[in-house]
Amino acid sequence: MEFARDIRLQWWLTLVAGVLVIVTFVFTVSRLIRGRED
Amino acid sequence: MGPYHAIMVHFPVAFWTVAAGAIIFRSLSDRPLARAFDRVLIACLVVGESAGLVAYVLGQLVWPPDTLQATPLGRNHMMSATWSLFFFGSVLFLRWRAGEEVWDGPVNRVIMLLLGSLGAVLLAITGTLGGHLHGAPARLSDLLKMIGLNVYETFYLPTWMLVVVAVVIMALLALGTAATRRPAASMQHPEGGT
Repeated sequence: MEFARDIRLQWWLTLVAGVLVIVTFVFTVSRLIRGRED
Repeated sequence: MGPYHAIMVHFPVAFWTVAAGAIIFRSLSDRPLARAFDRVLIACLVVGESAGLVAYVLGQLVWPPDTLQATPLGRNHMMSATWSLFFFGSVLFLRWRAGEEVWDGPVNRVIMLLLGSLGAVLLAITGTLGGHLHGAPARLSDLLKMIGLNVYETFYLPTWMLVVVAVVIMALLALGTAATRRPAASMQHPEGGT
């Protein structure tokens, strides 16, 4: 089976890491914009 | 559920494409048309996000999870769809939370331009992978291959890269927290010199 267990874990981690990067990046940008506004 | 997923994905694709175009246009222009696009941006993002969520759930029901995740195309499509959903959801949060200040100054505009462009690219990748799964491959996969992304191989980051991503996430959180604390700290001594 090509999709071995360790690769599956790596794929899931990549998926979750991508989501976290997106969310934290946009969250930080929103904070910076509002912070500068204040 | 395959046909229903195919029908439903038209809506997030349409609304998110308009949203990405509106973001790019507004970040480059102050003209009345660009402002008009900005006025419907949140509505486009809300409808796109809602329809995207439904399409995502339907997509998960096309095949059993093990079957969907049995092929690189299925795995890559699921990953890019998840990222698209969270990406445009985050952009919606940003535009709603920060308001029209997102267009103030060149730095904000460049950030929005990058976000709009990234959203369009992410959507194109997701759609291309969906097309491949649906039996309608597009030439865009050749372009993706040129930048090292083979749609027929599972995309994943090596462990060292995941560590780098974790560090970046922590740094972003620290930056966001510092940006929040600065005004709060200054409010403890409001106009202290007077």
